[in-house]
Amino acid sequence: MLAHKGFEGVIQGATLADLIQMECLALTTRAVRVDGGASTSGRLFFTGGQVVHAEVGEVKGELALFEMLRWPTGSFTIEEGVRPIDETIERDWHNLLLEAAHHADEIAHSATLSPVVPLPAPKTPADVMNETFNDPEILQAARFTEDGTLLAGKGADPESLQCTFAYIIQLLRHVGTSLGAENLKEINLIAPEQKALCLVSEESTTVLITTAKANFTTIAKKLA
Amino acid sequence: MQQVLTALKDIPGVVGSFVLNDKGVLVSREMPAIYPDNIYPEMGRRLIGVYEAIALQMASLGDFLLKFDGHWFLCRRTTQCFLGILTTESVNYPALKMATNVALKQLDAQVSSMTPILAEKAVEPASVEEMAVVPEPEAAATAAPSKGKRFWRGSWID
Repeated sequence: MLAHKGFEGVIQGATLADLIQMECLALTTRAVRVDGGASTSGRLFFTGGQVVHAEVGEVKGELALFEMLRWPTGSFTIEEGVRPIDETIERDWHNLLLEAAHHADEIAHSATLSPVVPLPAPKTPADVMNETFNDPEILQAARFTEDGTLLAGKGADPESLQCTFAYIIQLLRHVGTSLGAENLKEINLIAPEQKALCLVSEESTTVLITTAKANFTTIAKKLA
Repeated sequence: MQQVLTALKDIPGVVGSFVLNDKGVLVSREMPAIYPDNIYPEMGRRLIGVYEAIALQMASLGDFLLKFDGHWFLCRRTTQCFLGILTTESVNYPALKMATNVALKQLDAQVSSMTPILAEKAVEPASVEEMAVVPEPEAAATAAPSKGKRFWRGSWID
């Protein structure tokens, strides 16, 4: 078993803002679980050195981050490989910390505290897939393996959907080979009233027929 | 038509582009020299096959975007032609979409009067059953005219 690289130890007197600065300057991509004591906890998500999501119970985004930054004491745990379901924070981390300080001043002034709800368990890939399939913008769906096993479906005829896409994936891989492009990962099909998103991976292929309004970027991120 | 395809290279990340007519036959291309003309007949046949297969599943398909490792391939279709654009994955997609909107408008009017670059027997849209056996990519080479033939005024001569 490989030992983790890097130093380990206990730093006392550091603030959560110090941790955020450290993670952002190191350009990390990972999650940090923050425990504020008395059953209050939250989670911060970093992507490429930016804070992209924060959650404390049902509270998400900047408000959740500001909430955590107000906790007087606590501890944190690095969670490698945990990715955010949503990206609720877009502000640059420098501005974010300035805004947090400003927000904390305002809260202290008004002396009102937002309610803290226990942190829900992180969603599993199966939860995300079910959630996606149940999205009203998804009209039909199929998930199948390269050997032809249908794993899940939605709509009147998922088998037919599987057949069609199993076939066009083969054709389009040949098109890619002719152009010197390898490893087909995603197909976006645009028709006037519907769209289709096909995500191809080694484990399985997921096909979603959606309304024209569906946002493929968001869906693909969710399922990635 | 060549100018229209050249203009697409104004978008950073565009590697090259080509136009096939509604039968899948190459009518113009602005692709790097490493892509020989004999890849297009097979590609045209396969693209038509994709459109036919999708037509069985959902409403008529207009465009599709393929994402490969490092490269994207956008195929847009009008009643007259297919426009294929190969890009790197860093391309600005909204800008590319708009550039191809403009290109398609100009191409559509020109395609019907263009002589195919490869004056092969037109590729008829095959049924899904006929398309089920996909030849290996090497088969594309066999579709090219034999050596010693030359293209002269719209037809192949010995």
